Amino acid sequence: MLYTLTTVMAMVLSMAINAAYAGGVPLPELPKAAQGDECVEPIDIMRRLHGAFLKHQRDDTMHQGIRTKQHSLIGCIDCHVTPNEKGEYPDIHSKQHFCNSCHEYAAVSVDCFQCHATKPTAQVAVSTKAVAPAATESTSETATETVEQTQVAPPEETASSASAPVETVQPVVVNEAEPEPVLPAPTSEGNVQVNN
Amino acid sequence: MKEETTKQDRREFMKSAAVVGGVAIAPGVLLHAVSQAKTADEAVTDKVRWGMLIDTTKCANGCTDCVDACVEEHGLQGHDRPKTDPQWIRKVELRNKLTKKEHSLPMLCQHCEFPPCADVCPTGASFKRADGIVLVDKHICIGCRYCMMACPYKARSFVHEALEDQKPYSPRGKGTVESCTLCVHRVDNGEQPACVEACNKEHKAMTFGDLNDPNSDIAKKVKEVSSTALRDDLELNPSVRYHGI
Repeated sequence: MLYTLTTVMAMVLSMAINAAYAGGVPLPELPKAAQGDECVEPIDIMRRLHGAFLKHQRDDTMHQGIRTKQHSLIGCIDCHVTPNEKGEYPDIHSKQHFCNSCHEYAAVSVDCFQCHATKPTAQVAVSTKAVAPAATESTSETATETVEQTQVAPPEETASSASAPVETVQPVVVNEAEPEPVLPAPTSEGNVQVNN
Repeated sequence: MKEETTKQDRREFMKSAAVVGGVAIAPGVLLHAVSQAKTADEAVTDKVRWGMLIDTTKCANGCTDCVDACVEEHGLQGHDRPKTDPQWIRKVELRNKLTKKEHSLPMLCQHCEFPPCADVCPTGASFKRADGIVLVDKHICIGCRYCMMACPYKARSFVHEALEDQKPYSPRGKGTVESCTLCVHRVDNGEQPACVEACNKEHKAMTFGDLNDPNSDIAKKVKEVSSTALRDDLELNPSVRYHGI
């Protein structure tokens, strides 16, 4: 009885795992990392031990001030969290976020991101200042598209105080598909120059 | 031909040896100490003691450059609730009751040599790093707030709400206590804290540096001008000293 039960369960499990989608939870599709071909450690080691690496590194960093990038959380985020074609970074609760895609699948909650930033340090060179005067139409369009892309679209981000820099990232380059604004595209300094 | 090349080689060797000898008389002993920022893989040591000297005669009433810079650097978002909003540095305006002299000074974590917050912390989350910077290890902090009670300078704040969009080099989270880190991420890179940088743009009231290095600006200044530690009676030996009060 127990034997048949376990075999049946094993069969179902293997079917679910073999099929990328077989009526069960779909396997995570990991977004591609931004830089390089390999992770800092071999993949099989990383799969099992990335938690251990991070936990050891955080003690070294906090108490000894050792800030090597290899096992640091910032190092992971810088490489693995990539913006979409519009330059927006995925929300931590969405499947497009590298860390969350696997952790959601494996149902392993981690509390790293209660404190840590979910986006890389060096933002893609985008700022709202550059697009402010000209692209007001495109701003609203991307705002709605952001809602579709990420499952949780915190509305307070756009209405947040000015002290925080760009969270929902607005692209500098005006999309070709959109109609040309009346004013010419802003320069990188954010000044709008009028052509004669 | 061979003779010439060996002579040249020898000459070059003697030149480089002289240069090396001029700088180092023995392995590891340098005649001229090259002050460099700590490299990323080095642990901090107690050879360095980071400190700050604040000249209250230059600190301007009503100026909040340091506070604004700190808020910007660490993404501190207030909720218009002054009693519970995060506050890592604040401006204190004083007036002497007898002489009516007014003073202004920034109040931040004093990074004491004998920090009471570290003494009372039940988990060891509040600790003093070897180079004198007092930090909260939020991985360990349980949010009991004993350190907030213990601090004589009211330097610590508690995070009451879930936060989003933290700055990458300044992780902060709900349920932990936080305070001025002396911008440890900048200091480890050889830079100055954000408040000092902002103050130096105009009023130049804040000096930051290594108190143990006799050649640093701050060590020289502390020798020249009279400075006091706040709540000296507690004998905590803070790293932040004030001139002019």
